[in-house]
This record gives sequence, C-alpha cells and structure tokens, in this order.
Amino acid sequence: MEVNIQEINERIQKESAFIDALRLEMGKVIIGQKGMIDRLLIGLLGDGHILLEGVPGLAKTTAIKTLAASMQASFHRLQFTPDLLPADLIGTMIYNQKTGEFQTKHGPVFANFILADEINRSPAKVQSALLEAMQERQVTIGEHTFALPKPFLVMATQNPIEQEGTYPLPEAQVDRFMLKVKIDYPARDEELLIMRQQIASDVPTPNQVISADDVLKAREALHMVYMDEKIEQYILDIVQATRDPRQFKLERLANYIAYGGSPRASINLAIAGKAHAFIQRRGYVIPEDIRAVCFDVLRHRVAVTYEAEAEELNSEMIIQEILDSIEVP
Amino acid sequence: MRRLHYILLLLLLAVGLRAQSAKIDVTVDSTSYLIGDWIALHLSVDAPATWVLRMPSQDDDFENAEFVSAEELQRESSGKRQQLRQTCIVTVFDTGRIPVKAIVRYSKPGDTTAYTLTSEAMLFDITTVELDTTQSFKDIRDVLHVPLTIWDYLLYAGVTILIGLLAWFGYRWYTNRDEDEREEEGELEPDLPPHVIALQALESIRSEQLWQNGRYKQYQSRVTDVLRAYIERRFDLPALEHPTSEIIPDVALLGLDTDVVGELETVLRTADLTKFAKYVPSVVENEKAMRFSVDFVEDTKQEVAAVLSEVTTPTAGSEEADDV
Repeated sequence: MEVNIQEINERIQKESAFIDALRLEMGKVIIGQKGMIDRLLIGLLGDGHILLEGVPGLAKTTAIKTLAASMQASFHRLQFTPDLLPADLIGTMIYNQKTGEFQTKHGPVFANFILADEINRSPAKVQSALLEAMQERQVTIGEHTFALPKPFLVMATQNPIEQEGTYPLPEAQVDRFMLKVKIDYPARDEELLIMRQQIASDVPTPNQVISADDVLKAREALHMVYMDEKIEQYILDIVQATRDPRQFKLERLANYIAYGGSPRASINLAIAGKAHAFIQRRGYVIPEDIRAVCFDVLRHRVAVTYEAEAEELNSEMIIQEILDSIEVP
Repeated sequence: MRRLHYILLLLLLAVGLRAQSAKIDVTVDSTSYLIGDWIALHLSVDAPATWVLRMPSQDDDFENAEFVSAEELQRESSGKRQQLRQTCIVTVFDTGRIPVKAIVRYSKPGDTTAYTLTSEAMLFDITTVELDTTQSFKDIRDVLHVPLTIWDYLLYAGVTILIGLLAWFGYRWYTNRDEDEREEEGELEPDLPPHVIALQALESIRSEQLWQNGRYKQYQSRVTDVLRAYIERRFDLPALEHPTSEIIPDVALLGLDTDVVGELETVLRTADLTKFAKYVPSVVENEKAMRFSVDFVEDTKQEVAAVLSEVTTPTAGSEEADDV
C-alpha cells in the first residue's frame, strides 16, 4: 500500500493541534515535570497505563487531576492499603430491601482517569483486580460485565523509599504497564515557582481544552503515524538485545540480565514511539522517538541478576549500554 | 598272657589316638634377620583327611610377626591322613630375640567348633641397622635420572610435530575465514586510514548511480552511513550508534566551522527524512549529500604523517583542531 507521508503529516498536524493547548493548560498548574506530562500524553494516546515511581510530593496526583480537568473527564484517586478488597475497587452487588433485588454498585475504577496511589501497599488479589480491569477494560460484577469508560488511563504509583509491609508487583503484572516513569525532584528555579504558586491567594485551575472524543480521534490518527521498516528493525534489535545480548556482541551483559523484554515490550515501544512522534506533531517516527521512550518502556521489563546487583548495575544502565551499542538506522 | 593282652590294647589305643591327632612343623632358612626383612616360614601340617584346614593367611595367624604373602599350597593325601605344605613370608618390626608362632585353624566334620593348631615358637634374632655416628650427615639423594632411550626421543618428536600441525591448521583456518566475516568484525578496515575507507566507499556509491535510478533511500542511507562511520573512526564519536540529534552536538564540540556543522546537520536530516518519512530528495539535495560528504572527509582527514607523529609523540600534536 502506497503511503502518502504528506497527507499523514497534514492529518497529524491537524489532530495533534490540541497538544499545545493541553500542555499550556497543564503548565498553568504544574510547573516543570515536562517529562511526566509528556509520558502521560503518550500513555493516553497509546491507550496504555503508566507506573510512576517517585517520592511523595512531586505533583503526581496534580498532574493526572489536571489532565482530567483539562478534558472534563472523570477522575478517581484510590489509596491502596493492606486491607483494601477487590470489591472496594471494582464494585459489588448490594441488596435493596425496598425492591427486594440486588443492585450493582460500581466501584471507583469506573472513571476515565485513575490514580492508584501506592499500588504496592495492597495484597496481590487487589492488584490483580485492577490489572485485569486495565487489561480487559471491562469489569465483571456478579453475572454482569461492564465496560469501563473511554478513554481509560491508570496511573499507578510506587513509593521507592519504603519497602516494609509492601507487596511488590510481580514481573508479569508490571509488564501490563506500558510505561514505567521515574520522576525526580524539580530544579531549584522550578521549585521556587511552585512555592510561589502554592502560597499565592489564587491557585490556577485548568480549563477544559479538549474532550474525550478528541482523544479517541487522536488515537485513531496515531495508527496512521508512519513507521519505516528500518525503525521496526531498530526496535526489534533493542528488545532482542535485552534477551540475547551475545547476538549483539554484548557478552558482558549476558550474566547481568535475568530476562529481557517480552513481545509486549516491542509492541509498546512501537506504540510509544508513534505517540512520541505524534506529540512532536510529526507524521513519521524517527530513531529519536524510540530512544526517547526506550527507558520508560523497558526499565520494568528488563530484570537484572544478582551478579548485576552485586556490580551495582540496574536495568537502566543495561538499557543505556544496549542503546550505545546498537547501530541507529 | 594277660600282660600280652595289655600291651596289644595299649598299641591299638596309641594307633587310634594318632589317627585323630594333627601336627604342625615349621622350618626356617635362618634365625637372624634385619628388622623388616622378609622371613620365610616353611609350614608342614599333618592331619586327618576329614579335617578342614585353613593355613595362615593374615596377621592374626602369626604371633609376633606380620603376614606378607604366601606361596602356593601343596596338598597330599595318604589313606586317612592329609599333608599340607606352604611357605609363608612374614616380617618382624621389633628387635631382639622374638618368638614367632604360626597358627593353623581347622574344623572337624559334624562339629561346629573352630580349633587351632599352634606351632612351636621359632626364635629369631632381629637386629636393627647400625648407624655409623662417627661420620657426618649426608644429604638426601637426588632423583634418579633414567637415561632417555630412542623411544622417548621419538615420542617427543611426535608430540612436537602434532602441536606444529595443529598450529598450522589453526593459522590456515584463521587466515582463510570468510572475508566478509572479518570485515564485519572490523579486522580489515582499520588497516586503512578512515578517510581512505570513506572516500573509497563514497566513490563506490557514486559509481552505482543509485539516486539516478530512483533508489533515493538506499543512496541517502549509504552516503550518511559512510559519513557516520567516518565520524566514528576519525573523531572517536559513537556516530553509528547515535541519531542525528545526538551526533550534531557532539560534532559541534570538535571545534569545526559552524557552517560545516550546519551543513552536516542538513545532510543528515535530509537522509533521515528520506529513510523514515518516504521523502524524495531533489537532485540538488542528492548531489549535495555526495559533494558535502567528500568535502567533509577531505577537509577533516587526518594526514598519515600527523597520525604517525601522534603515535610516536602521544602528548604532542594530538589536538583534533590541528588537523581540521
């Protein structure tokens, strides 16, 4: 099939026009954290979910709340605790004494944007309930199955500091997150602006600049973003190098990688690469797009061995070495 | 008459008793030995034919001596008697006059009791080696050197020839490997300076008339691949592993003319568009890619003399800007 790049570019330019407006609106409330905002947009456009790791107080809740407000979409924040039950999350059947029938009570998972705060504080059964909802985009309560609203984006957070009394997400579950984003403290000048903004009398509130339909249309347009075969091969090279580094003359890494990225890693790297090109308002993917999202897509999908831990190597260092060794097309 | 009967009775009794008795005799070659010497005991046993005999064959079968070995047992039968002969080798590790006895074990038919037959004690004078304390101490003896025979020399020669053959076959295998494979491993190219390799490759691309035949993508890919490989080898920058947006800031730090860096970026960006966005470059852009690449290589090449001086005096003249 002949691809008309000019046409695609024009369509992407048109469909991505809201990106600048959305960034501007979010920028009113969130100072700095450009990377996190971009990853939120990539997750939103790529129909994926995001696992966020960072210490408390880095505007994680504010970011997703602002995104929801900018779209006038529903938002729920769930604080995961050790005594949380799956029914608290997805809902349950309640007996109505007046009618003498059971009625379905939807849980907080029925929202466009979900912030699953400290997901590793809850036991596996609750995590599984959420992850199933994330994957299937539907929830079964009693005998009825309910579709979740569109768009549906879960941003889960993990606190990297406290490990006591937590239930770390199993590797198979972590793989369901499209991106794992690490956020750090803002720069000094950014923090000064944050401080001034928060102590001012009028805290800015975001305006609605797009609708949920705009996002769904943008998702359709995202599929049109052109990805050349060279880029596809580049993605496969990177993911395969995480599985079999020897194949790419990276023998040194062989003992440090317990297991590499799954096919889901290749798929998500391609989608995230397209979404990155989209938010750059480009109708085609370039290697820079893949490299920009590579760490976020792969850091939770590459497990390191004890030898690597002993050498103080983490998955990011391994991904960096792979990126530094594989030829860019 | 009664007395005669008495004598006959005694004779019969004596014969009957002999028929149920056994005797062990031991003879020796000498009674004086050095401590630890082997002593041969020639044993001879005469016993009823129905008895089951076990000749001495372990340390417990000798008193004051340790069993070493035994020669073949010789057995003879005559009527209701049997005669067994065997030479046992024993040794003694005590000095002085040592009484040594041999014990033969036997059993009788229909009787589960184990009986023993012990020889008379043989007295041996066991002496130790006398030391001549008047002489000085002597060093430990060297390892005994056995002279080499012709077979030893042949074995060494054979092993040497075998190692030589293996080394020769290994060398032949190494040198005959597929040239492409070696090229891939980067073993051939470093022999030539980076600019020579780059200029040869660019000339080859030019002669193939790729863009003139509509193969724009291949043309742009190959030209920029040569350019990136040249930058990597010439300036030791990971240009092959980095995209354009990361190459340009690195090249800008080399101190090259800003116009050159700008043009390099234009050429690489045009190639990116061609490679990833199905862009069809114009004739001017295609010609510019080749012209710029050749000029860039020519202008930034490191002369062989400069390379040699850099190698011989590594601390002087290693500034990249000197050659640019």
